[in-house]
Amino acid sequence: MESIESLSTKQQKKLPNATAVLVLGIVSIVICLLGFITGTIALVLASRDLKEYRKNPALYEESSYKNLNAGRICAIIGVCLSALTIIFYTLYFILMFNILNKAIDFNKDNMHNNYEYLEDRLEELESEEYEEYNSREIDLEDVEMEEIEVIEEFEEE
Amino acid sequence: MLECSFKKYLGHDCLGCGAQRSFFELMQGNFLESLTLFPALIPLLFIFVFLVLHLVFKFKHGARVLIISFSLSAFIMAFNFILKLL
Repeated sequence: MESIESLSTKQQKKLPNATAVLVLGIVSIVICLLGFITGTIALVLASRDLKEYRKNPALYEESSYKNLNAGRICAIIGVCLSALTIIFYTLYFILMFNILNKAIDFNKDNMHNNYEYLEDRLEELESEEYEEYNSREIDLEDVEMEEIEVIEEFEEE
Repeated sequence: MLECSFKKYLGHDCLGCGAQRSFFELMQGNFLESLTLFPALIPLLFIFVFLVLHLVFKFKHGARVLIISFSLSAFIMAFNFILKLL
């Protein structure tokens, strides 16, 4: 038995993607968006290698299997973190967008402090005054009386 | 310095924001400032150095050490991220 085992340990080979999975899995924590991509790649490679390993575990080195497992766990953690941040930020963004929309609607309803609103209101008032001024009825007698008063004042001086 | 797209478009720090600033502070020798900017930098640097060493020399418990330090730094990063938000 011992001779067979020693033979088999000599013939054992590395899992093909073990180091790649380890490196990618550890890189997956560094940058959030990049980590998502590298982490998923690492997970896919790891799943392939695990299938091969489970077919006949005696064929492959135990150390490379450990490396693969470590890389897989690191990739899972990295992907979870980046996915959580992405979900969090999308929620945050949606929330902020909703609040912004509500604020805009509120502002439209109560625009008393708005400069544009005030300008429009001023124009309306001015046009109303202008129309009133143009459409006023003039009594000729009043005008004559005023003219007479003015003339009298002038003469007095 | 590389710009974080999250910070650029959303106006908030992401999980990895502060790492570069913290690294430069560490290079200049400002240990405390680098810790306050990004506390997970030192474990991360340790992980990368250890990863290279492990791939070259093949330590016996290298994989386990990597898993533990990785999860620890991930925890620190998440904790720091939540602290920054509050």
